[in-house]
Amino acid sequence: MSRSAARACRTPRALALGLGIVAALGSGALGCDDAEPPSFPAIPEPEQALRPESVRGVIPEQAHVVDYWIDARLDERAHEIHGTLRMAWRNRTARSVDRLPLHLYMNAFRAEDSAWMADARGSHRGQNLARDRWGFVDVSRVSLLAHNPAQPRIVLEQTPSQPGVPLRFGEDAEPSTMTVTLPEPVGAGESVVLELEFTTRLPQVFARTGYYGDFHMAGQWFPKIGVLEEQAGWQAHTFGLFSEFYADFGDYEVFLDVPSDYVVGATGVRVGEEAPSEGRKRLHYRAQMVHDFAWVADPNFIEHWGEYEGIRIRQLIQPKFVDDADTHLEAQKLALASMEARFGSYPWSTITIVHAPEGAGGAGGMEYPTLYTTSNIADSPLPAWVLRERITGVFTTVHEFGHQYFQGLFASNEHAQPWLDEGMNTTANQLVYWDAYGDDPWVVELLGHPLTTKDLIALSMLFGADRDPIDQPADRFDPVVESYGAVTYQKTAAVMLTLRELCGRAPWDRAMARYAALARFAHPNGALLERVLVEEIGDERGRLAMVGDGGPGTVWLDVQDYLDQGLRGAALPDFRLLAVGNRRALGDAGWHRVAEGEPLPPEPPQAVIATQRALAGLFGYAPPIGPSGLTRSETPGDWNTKVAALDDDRVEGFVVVGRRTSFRMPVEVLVEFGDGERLTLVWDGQADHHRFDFPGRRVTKAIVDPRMQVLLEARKLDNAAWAKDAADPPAEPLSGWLGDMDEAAALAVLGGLGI
Amino acid sequence: MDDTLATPLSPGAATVPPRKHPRRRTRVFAALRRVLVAPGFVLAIWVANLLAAKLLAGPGRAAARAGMRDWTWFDDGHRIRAVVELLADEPAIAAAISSSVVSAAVVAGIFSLLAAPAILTRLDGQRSLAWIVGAVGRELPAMLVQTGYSLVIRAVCLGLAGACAAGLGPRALPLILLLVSFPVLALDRARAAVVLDDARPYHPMTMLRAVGHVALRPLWWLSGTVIETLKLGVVIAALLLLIEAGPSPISIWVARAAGLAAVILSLWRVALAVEDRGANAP
Repeated sequence: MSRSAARACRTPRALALGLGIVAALGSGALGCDDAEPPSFPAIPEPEQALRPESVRGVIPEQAHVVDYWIDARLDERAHEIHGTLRMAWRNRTARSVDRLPLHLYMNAFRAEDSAWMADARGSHRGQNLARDRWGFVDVSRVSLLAHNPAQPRIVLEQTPSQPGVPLRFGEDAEPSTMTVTLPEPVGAGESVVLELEFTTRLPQVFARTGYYGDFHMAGQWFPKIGVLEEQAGWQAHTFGLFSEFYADFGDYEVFLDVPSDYVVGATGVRVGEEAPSEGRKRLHYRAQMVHDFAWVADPNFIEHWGEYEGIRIRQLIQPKFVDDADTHLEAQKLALASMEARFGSYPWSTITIVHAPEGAGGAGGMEYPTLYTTSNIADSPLPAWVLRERITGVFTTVHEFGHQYFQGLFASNEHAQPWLDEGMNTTANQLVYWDAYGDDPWVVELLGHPLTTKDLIALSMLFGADRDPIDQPADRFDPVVESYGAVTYQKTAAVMLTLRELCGRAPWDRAMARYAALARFAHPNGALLERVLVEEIGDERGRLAMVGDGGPGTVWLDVQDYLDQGLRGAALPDFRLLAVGNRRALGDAGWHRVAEGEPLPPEPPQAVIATQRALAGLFGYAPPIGPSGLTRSETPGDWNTKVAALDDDRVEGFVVVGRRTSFRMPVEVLVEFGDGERLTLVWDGQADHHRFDFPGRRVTKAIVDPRMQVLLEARKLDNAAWAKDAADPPAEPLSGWLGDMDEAAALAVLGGLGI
Repeated sequence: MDDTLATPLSPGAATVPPRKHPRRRTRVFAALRRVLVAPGFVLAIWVANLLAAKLLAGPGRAAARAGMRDWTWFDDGHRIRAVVELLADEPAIAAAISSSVVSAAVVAGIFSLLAAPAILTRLDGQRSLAWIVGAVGRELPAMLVQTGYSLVIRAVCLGLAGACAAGLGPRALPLILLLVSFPVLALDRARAAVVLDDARPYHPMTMLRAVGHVALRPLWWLSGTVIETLKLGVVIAALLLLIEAGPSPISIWVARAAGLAAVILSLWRVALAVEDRGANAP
């Protein structure tokens, strides 16, 4: 074959090889595109929004404050919602009010200088507001339909026979709230019925609510009345970056007019559907004893179904992530199992999990009553033996469901005490993991090395957690300080779980069950939680004996003092092993005065004394003869022997533990001795430092907080050490490991690139 | 398998005029034999690698040790947490480690330039140290120029690989490996042409011919890609094993052994070009 002929043969061969590879890859890459989106057998809509009373318990009548009837139409092209709202509000307090504050949360996204946007500067959790895609809510009319002196049954669904009395209303200086002025005060026990017309334009979603393409997430989309508290009066806070929501419980009847091809999910249950016009459908939703109503619509949703103890679990998921639905469902069931056991029954009959599409990640990770948005599970190309994780997506599902209790069912004031929702929920999330996978399970496992729930909390607190106290209103956190997340979420969880570990878990679990029972539909505050914790964990004086039976030497944990430091102080506890070592045991060599009443030692003969003095003078040492009132003990033969060479019973081990911050609390110290025995002690943590002495025992190593009970202590590298004089201590493993990795990486680069 | 070498492996072989190949077969195992018959040379390169790596990793190791001060970490169940805490609180450690890896890359680049003529000469059968060292001095400017040309090819191939990765994701891995290996093989070929076949040392056609040469020999391209992939696999596996095993005196030696394997595989890849000497020479 000639050279050119050979080349001619080779060229198509090479080309064929290349094309073959490309074709193989291409078919793999594109092969799924033609597949039909899967569908799953549906579970029927529950008939009632609430579970049976025998399961959920009795809901106190006092908790029922406000009912809403809303008729809304989605203009999917303009991304606007046009609505009419009727609201029946009951004054459950002894106060009389002549104005009603309403939240206009969507106005947070109206302009750059709203309180929310001023803090956020157009960005939320890494998502940015698209240029000129502002959102707002505009109220065009407010009428008073009724003012009832008593509390008659108000039928909001019925169109009033007469137009209402127009009311004076206006946005406040900060447009996320407005005030409606009433013609006459609403007294204790009275109620009013208002009708409002409003238009809400959704922003392009970057912070919880908004649209992205056909996806519409309508959260905080309608005017919502504030909460009238007996002591503090109206609670209607300006919507800020960190302040979430606070509202009263009631029933909702909501009609949604949307395009007929849209799949809709909403708070509560769907009780009706009709077709008002070509290409539209009108859905009727009912929610009972909730404090908010949110809904989502997207023609691309795939519905996935599950059930747990009669609770319907509906997922609205994007086709691309439909394979993850079972994982989310499993996480949801684990969360339900753990939380029902710990915090009581989930009262509603349904839960809807929403998966935002790609590009609308800002909508993910938000809770609404009986509905929440989660995030997607990370698609890792690494095999499971390299990387396993149960955090992306799964943790969001567990966390957002947890809010169904702390935000949805208890409904504390998230503006005044954000930790009571976010922080306590984060605490509960850890326990979901513990209940599901065992004590302190891994959330990420990299090449067999676990990163556990405790580790994750600690690492989250490395920076920022000591910049602010936990128990403060949301608007007290400065976004530039970057402390809100670490303080409100992880630090709160660390405060609670540390207390749980220190008290032996059962008392804390008991306290939380009691708190949950008191908090259901009750707008609890932090004081209630603290009181319950102190009562359940502490003795009659609120103290817990860590060591001892109450007598001398008992190490106490003052529960209220601990909570005061943990919740209202910025500092985190930080212990340090200041010294670990051994020294010569204290003996009695040398001269001692003879105690009164004891016989003097016999005086040696003068000749002996003279000889000893002469010898001492000759060789230049002090004679072993002293005054008659002193007696001398022999200096041991190993006086000049190094401590490392002394027999174990001739040394005195010591461990010095220090406290580096103002946070005072007890901590365990594990000491290992030369004979292999281990001893766990407890230091009360009150002084700046404390030394433990072990006469006659050689210490080989010590570890502060060996069981990692103090989750609040983020930094633990300085908690363990070998004794300084330990015979041949092994090289420090962690730094050695890092050094080896460095060397191996350098070697890989040299061997890989060098030739 | 053809177990005869393209050129004799005896001293003074370089003085023998290169034999023109009637056929352009890629003799993969003959190339490997060229490497295996030079164990001293292989070991010398490996030891040099070991010393360089040890030296380069010194600051990172020292920084980590200093960061731990008198304390130690006993808890094997929370090692990732400890490493993250250490790196977060002592950023000098991460800086030292990344600087040592970057330094290793720079050293590797310089070594690649300096050692290429010596490696090619030795794999061609030349055993005279003076001749080998002399080749380094003689060919260094040409190596620089050809390497410069190869950077253009490399940029194009990396761009294509990036496009494949963006378009196809992990499925594109084989294609990416083929594309990433291509400029390496072309550079091997161009260097071999200059050092062994007296190709024009500074002319871009030497590199272009090498590009065509590799492109038209799918078995070479594929073999070279497989060897490069193996090398990558070995060093990554060693690194993963070291991480997986945790602190252990043995695992660093596994990594060092992987370094030896990487050297052998690299030389094998270069030997493919030596094995094909004479082809497309000017």
